[in-house]
Amino acid sequence: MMDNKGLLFSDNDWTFERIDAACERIAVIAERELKLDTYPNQIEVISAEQMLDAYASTGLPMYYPHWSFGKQRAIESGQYRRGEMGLAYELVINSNPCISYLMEENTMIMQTLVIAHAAFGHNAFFKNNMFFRQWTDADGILDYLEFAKGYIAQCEDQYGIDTVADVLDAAHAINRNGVDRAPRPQKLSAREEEARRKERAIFLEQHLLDVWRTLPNRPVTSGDRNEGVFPGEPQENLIYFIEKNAPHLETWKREILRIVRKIAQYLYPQGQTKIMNEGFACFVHYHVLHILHAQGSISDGSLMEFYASHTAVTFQPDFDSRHYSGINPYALGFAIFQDIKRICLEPTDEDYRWFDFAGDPDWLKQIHFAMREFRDESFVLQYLSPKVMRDFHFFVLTNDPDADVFEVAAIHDDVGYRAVRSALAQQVAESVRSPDIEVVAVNRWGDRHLHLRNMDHYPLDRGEAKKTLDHIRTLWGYDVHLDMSPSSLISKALDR
Amino acid sequence: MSIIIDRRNSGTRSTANQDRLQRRVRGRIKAAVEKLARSRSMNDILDVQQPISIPTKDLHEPSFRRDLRDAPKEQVLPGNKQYRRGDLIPKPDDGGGSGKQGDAGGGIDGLGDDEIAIVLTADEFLALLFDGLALPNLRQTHREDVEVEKWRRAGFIKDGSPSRMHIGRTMRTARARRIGLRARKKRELEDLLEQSLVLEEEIRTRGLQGQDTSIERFRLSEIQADVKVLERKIRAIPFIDESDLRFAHIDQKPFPITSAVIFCVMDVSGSMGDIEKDLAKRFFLLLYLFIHRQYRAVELVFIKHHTEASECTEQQFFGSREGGGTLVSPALALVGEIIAKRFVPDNWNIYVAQASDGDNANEDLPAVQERLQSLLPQLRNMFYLEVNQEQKSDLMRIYLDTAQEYPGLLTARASQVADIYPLFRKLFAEREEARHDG
Repeated sequence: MMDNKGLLFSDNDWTFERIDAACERIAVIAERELKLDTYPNQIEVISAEQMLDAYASTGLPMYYPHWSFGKQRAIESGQYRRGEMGLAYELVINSNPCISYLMEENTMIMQTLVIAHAAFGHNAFFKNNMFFRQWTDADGILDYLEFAKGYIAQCEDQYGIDTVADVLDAAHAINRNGVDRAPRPQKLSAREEEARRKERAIFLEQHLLDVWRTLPNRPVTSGDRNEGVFPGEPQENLIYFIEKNAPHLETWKREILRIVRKIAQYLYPQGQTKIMNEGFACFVHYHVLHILHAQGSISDGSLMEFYASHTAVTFQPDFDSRHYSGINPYALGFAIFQDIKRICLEPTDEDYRWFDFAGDPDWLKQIHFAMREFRDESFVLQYLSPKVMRDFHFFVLTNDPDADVFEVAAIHDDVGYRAVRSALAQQVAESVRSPDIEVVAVNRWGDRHLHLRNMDHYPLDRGEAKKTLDHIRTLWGYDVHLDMSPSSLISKALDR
Repeated sequence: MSIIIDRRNSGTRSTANQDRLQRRVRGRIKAAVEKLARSRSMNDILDVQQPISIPTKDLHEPSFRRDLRDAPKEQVLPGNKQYRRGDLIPKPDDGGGSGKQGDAGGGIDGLGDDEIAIVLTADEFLALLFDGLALPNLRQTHREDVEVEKWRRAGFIKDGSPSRMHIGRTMRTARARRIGLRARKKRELEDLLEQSLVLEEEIRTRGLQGQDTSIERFRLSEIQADVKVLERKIRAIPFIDESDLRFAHIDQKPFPITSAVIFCVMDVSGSMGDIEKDLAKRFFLLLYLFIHRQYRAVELVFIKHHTEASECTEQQFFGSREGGGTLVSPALALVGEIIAKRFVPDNWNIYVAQASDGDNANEDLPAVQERLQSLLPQLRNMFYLEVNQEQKSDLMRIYLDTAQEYPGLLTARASQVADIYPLFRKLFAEREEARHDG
């Protein structure tokens, strides 16, 4: 089925013409062979300095200025200059059109790899994964960032850089607690956002919030006071709650909270799908590069160079290795996607026992389904096979802080597979989730303090929590209490 | 369809973040700047491309995090080799194990380096070092710097000495004149030649027809005479004329002297300890930096003295400690000698900065006064800093007396590092007033 199309390049220097040509052939492969549905691509070649800029602003192409981004950049450029850190070959933004940054240092085969990986792999993932579809709006994000930057610049002009920084500092401290984990679909659009912002400002200025209505329509009896516990149910989105209910917060500060919250919400799925997203992108580049080679678009030498990069990226060091720094999401994700294909095409008896799709000849459909419908935690639970567990030599270690020894709770054997898998899924989920802190009550009639509770089943870092609470107080305007001890009830309920 | 864009030349967008970062750590940077000021040699101080490191704990971003140290925890690890279920593995002594997984507990900050580097420009560095000191005022007081007359080119003139004649300009003017004068005559000449051709043609046709041509012949001879006259006139236009001559002009203009020299004079006798020297160094450093803002090049001359004075290097200057008594006048005499030899006051802005604990042999005082009198007229300013004295010394009194006559002599006393900045402020404020009074 493959005609020889002729080499795309014979030496390793990239040019814009070569990138364009490579891009065209990859697009054909992505569409015909891998049936990828992608946003249009916008590919930008950038320098190392610009890559460091992009790193500093969480990869976003535009961000309001804040000292923490300057700090991040200083740290990373220091490490980069000292040779302690290499820069990514690419960086891709979940937007429509999908913007991919390619490093100018890359060789041509690297550019080809990176285009396949980012501009088609990640791109397709952004467009189709259920999480990204629900939480983010690729059409609106660029406009929205522009709006956010403009609005914050305007605030800085009006209220001073330091005042704005104080609000941002406080909002950043809780921005991981500013995400609705249950989806609350809202489209972002700069124009509508600006119009809505004005409406909100007018509304807020005219109406006291119901919570704080101090002149009730009817005489208050003491019974009424006890009845009105607010909020009716615990609230997990701290920023949202403060934005809507802080007694005296100026309107522009509420607006800034909203901006921080919206951007946190936009970034939220990236943490939730790291393994899948990277795994899928690796799966795509792996297939694309092989097909390019098969059709004669790239030489044997280029393929060898590709293998060198690919294996380096998808390498998993052992736990006792000097290079170990956790489970490599590229390695695990790629292994699972490859394994899904294998289970379809060359199923073993074991696979038939574990997976009902084993032996399905339409492996591509299974890959697409996995890519669309899951996030890391459920993906691991659903697809981590005994084979992959054996390949990784996974084992579970329990750490009882009072004991002198670790205990090996499970290994990659018949009795252990399920334990390993659920432990890994939980580990994956927890590593990206900030502690669950919820608003349980507001003292409405007294000192107006805000009551928070740690709903997580791990203890909080007390020093951190104290400093974070200070930030929350500046936003709330009154005292803030936090029950720090882990919620043992919940912890038991969650224990499986 | 993919769009491919070359973004490499659109620069970085980190300036705004960088500014905000510096705002945030201003206190830290200032402390670091001061430390640099203390530890660096004076000549290097303006070469501040070296980054200043800021501990990241100052830039900590708190958030709710788990504390996993004491929590029972399960962990999945790759790369099992010999473990079976139920195996017990002794914990390493540092209790590391559980923290190895770099999840929410560690955070980005914990993993990163504990310091970041900030690079200041020379101006930012100085602004921080002088934090609020009235630099603009200083600029003003320096406006009336010594000026020298310098020759410089000032266009072209019509007369001058032959040696400054500008050939190119002269030839250009000559050519323009020649073209200008010749133009009308040439046009007339062409007209006449044309007329003569017409006449000759007419004479010929009439001759063939046997008609009379005497009038035409006469006219032709007239025209030919005119042609001759014109040709002569054209030839008579001179190739070069007196009025064409141009001379390069040079003119004298006053220029400010852009180089300065600071004489640092310090007592290195036994009574000057490290603290005193540190005070003196700061004082000299500030002067150097202030003065450096004004001039393109500033030279430093270090003169140490006890009973004898000698020129030395900066290291020797701040490092040496010699015993014995103190005589100030030899140091001042040495300054005078070096000025005469190497720094002609016409070309240099000369400053003298002296630091001393006020110790001086009494019999030397008249000599000091005499030296001061002869030195001061040559100087832009002289600064005298007295360190660590409860009371004004006799030496100080002499300086104060002399300052009545010479407002360029400024004195001050300091006993700790913190005194130096305010002292500077005062020095320059006084100077302003002195100017107004005078």
